[in-house]
Amino acid sequence: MKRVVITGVGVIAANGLDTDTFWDNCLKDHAVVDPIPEHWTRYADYKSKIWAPLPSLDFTKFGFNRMEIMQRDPVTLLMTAAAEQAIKHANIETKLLDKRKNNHALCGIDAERTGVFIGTGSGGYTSLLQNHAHHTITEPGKRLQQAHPDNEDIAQHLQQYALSKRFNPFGVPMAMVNAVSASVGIKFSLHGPNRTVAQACASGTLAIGHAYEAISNGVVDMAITGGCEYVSDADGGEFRGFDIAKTLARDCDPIDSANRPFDEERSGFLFAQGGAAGLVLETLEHAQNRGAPILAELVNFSETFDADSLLSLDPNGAQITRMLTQLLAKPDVNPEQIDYINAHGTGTGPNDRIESQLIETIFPHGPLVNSTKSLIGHSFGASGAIEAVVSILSLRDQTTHICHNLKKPIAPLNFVTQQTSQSLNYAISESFAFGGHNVGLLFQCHP
Amino acid sequence: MTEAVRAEILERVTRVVTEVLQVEDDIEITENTSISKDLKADSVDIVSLLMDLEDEFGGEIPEEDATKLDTINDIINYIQERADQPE
Repeated sequence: MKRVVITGVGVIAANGLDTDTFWDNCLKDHAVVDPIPEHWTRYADYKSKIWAPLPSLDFTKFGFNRMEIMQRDPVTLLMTAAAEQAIKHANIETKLLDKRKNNHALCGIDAERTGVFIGTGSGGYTSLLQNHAHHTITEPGKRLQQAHPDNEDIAQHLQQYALSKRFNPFGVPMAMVNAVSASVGIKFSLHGPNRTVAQACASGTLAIGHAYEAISNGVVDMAITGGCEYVSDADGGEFRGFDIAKTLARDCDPIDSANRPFDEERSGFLFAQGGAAGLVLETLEHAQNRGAPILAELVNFSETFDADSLLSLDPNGAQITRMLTQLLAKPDVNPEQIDYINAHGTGTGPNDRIESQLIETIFPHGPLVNSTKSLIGHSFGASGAIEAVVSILSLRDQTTHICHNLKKPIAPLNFVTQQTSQSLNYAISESFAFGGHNVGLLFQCHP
Repeated sequence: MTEAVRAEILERVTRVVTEVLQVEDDIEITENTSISKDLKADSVDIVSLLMDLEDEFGGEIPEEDATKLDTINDIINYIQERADQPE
């Protein structure tokens, strides 16, 4: 088995469009929460009226050309941009191969020994919705407008979706879920295994785990991995799906205090517009041979499945316990050696209760615990990869961010309440997903 | 069509073609430039190009018309003919 290290990371999140901005804002406890777009309220009366939007996105500023922006869903562009950040961070130079395709080679890297493993919850879902809306609304819409030529509400709605837009000829490749890993592979001309995994909120974590396995088993020497999500459909339909399932944080005054994982007053998770995190993983030997900076070591990955409910964690947490036990088994780490846990920490009632009880039982020595979702909301398939990056940077910098808005903890865990210097050797990042997927990554500080 | 109108359409078509197809600086685009042969656009490139031409000049370019457009001259004539047609 090969040792696997992380040599580059890239993040796009609600509180930063690059890793440095993101991490600096995390350590400064800079959280994001805004009212949902006004026009969404034309379609439904939501229980939650807040979300965590991304900063304004101009994909040309990420270096994409016109053709890429036309042919790719935003989720794919976010993932590709985060991957590019990670590649630069890993000190890998790129060489432009084709100006029109805007694809590059990774200099000094064996493309056939480099894989791509990306997680996403719903891929290019927003492109699918837009095209479907155009398909179903355009013709009846024209007739409706002819019958009611002076009705501004009808005109405005049709303008939004139907009459002003074409049926997008790239709708299928934009919507297909594997476009996220395929596009990263095309962008960087990589010929190793190329895999998209879709395990809802654990997608990013699982993708990193699959990359780890491929490298440690000798299938590849290096992998570009991570997770991504973009659920900002034009009229809030995806938001409504989570809202009607009563999973989202309720409004309160001020809205900044609504998102509070592990707090007795929590009311649900904060819906994030999207995000992405990219990581470069490689064997220790490969990293050392090319003189790469080593951020941390990934020493194990574990996954189990509840086989209980599509929507809820198994209340007894048996499979989460098994996942964590397996995670610690291979490097033979004792639970008391774990210094820090980046929790799934959504802020929903049952999830936080079950997760905190399990942490208290399995890790009674009191490792640090925080929830990155308390700062940037829940970005689904991106979240696990972003939280893996937080775990890695916490080990690198020997500090981590506080658990935002935590005033009345639901359990006597060692929640991070101050951003101070710490002594961190082992860290766990764990994710649980709709469906019943439990995934964990075990990182170790690299001296 | 006046020379001025034609020149303005040529400038706009050239700008769209250059941006979408990422035409290199040393390649001069003239009215006789062939999109497929000289600029080596494949079918996917051409679909993208037509989408941006639709956005630039408005309206929709049906597939049966699109197949007749190869040179810059073809595109300019098509845009002008369509503009001359009554609504």
